Amino acid sequence: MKRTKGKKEENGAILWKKSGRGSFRLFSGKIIKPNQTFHASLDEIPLPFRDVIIPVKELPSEEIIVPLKTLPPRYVIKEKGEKFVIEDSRGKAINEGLLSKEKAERFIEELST
Amino acid sequence: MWTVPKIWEGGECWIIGGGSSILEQFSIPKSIIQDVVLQKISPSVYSEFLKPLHTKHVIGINNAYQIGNWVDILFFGDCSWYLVHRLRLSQWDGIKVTCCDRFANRQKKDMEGIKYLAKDRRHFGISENSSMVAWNGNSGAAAISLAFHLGVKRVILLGFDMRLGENQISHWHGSHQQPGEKRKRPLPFEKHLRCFLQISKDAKRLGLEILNANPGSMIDEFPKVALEEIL
Repeated sequence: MKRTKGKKEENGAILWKKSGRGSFRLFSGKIIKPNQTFHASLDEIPLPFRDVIIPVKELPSEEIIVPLKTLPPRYVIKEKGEKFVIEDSRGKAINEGLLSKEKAERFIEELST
Repeated sequence: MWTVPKIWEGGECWIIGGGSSILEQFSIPKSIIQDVVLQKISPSVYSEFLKPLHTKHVIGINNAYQIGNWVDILFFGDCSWYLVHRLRLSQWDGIKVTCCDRFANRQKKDMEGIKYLAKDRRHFGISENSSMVAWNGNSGAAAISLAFHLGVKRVILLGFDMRLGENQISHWHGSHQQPGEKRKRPLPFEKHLRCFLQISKDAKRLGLEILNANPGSMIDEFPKVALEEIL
């Protein structure tokens, strides 16, 4: 059988090593065991896991972080008579009951931190 | 560390656990269940069957975020679960909360939209610190602390079975393994059941009512109610 070693590096995947106890499963479904080396792209290994999943070769500093584009929750304050509710992007009220405008604004701030 | 605001003060919330009882409770056809369990289709097909929950305050545990974007808050405690779901989760715009320690002491830019509550490992029960959850050894039981911090007076547990369903599946989405992959360790139901006595004691003391909406659940510490009684 023809060996395929090296192909993954050509595709931009990086060689990592899983240190410490316990196994991890990647998005692809692949299970990574303790001390196993494996190839994965930068965006498969989030920053909070880089202390136990370590690149075998040091990464250039500009490659260390690939920011994950996430959809942040979006809220709007809707007026209900003299009171207010906070609705999410689907129009579902995310708070209980009716609020003063100040409280609604404060909740949005607290949910956004 | 996040401090949970009391956005649901005085209200009630539903917590969707992983147990397969919800499939029967919401009359989901077996053919659909089979396709979800085999990962041929997304659990979002369950959404229309769970329509009565769409307007409720809902905390979804682990994979429950996949059912629908009407799930207000996702809660997970297992760090390795996040690695599998991270990319899908990035496209889900609800509130994402964890007690996975990997998110402790991170700057906001590195949090990937996840809110972190510390694990109170000292005891089972409900944490009164609104920046913590009592871990209790499992995400569903930990989420009861989150519900308390959100200010609810009543929590309704769905899919907190702690046993295999009649169809012998452990979770409504199948399992956390890949199709065909065998589980290496026994299911942790016995371990997960240990915390509920203390949770019920704390709930009484804190004035929090907890209902178990699965009459066949192995958790006996909370009043069991039929779904139709409360929906």
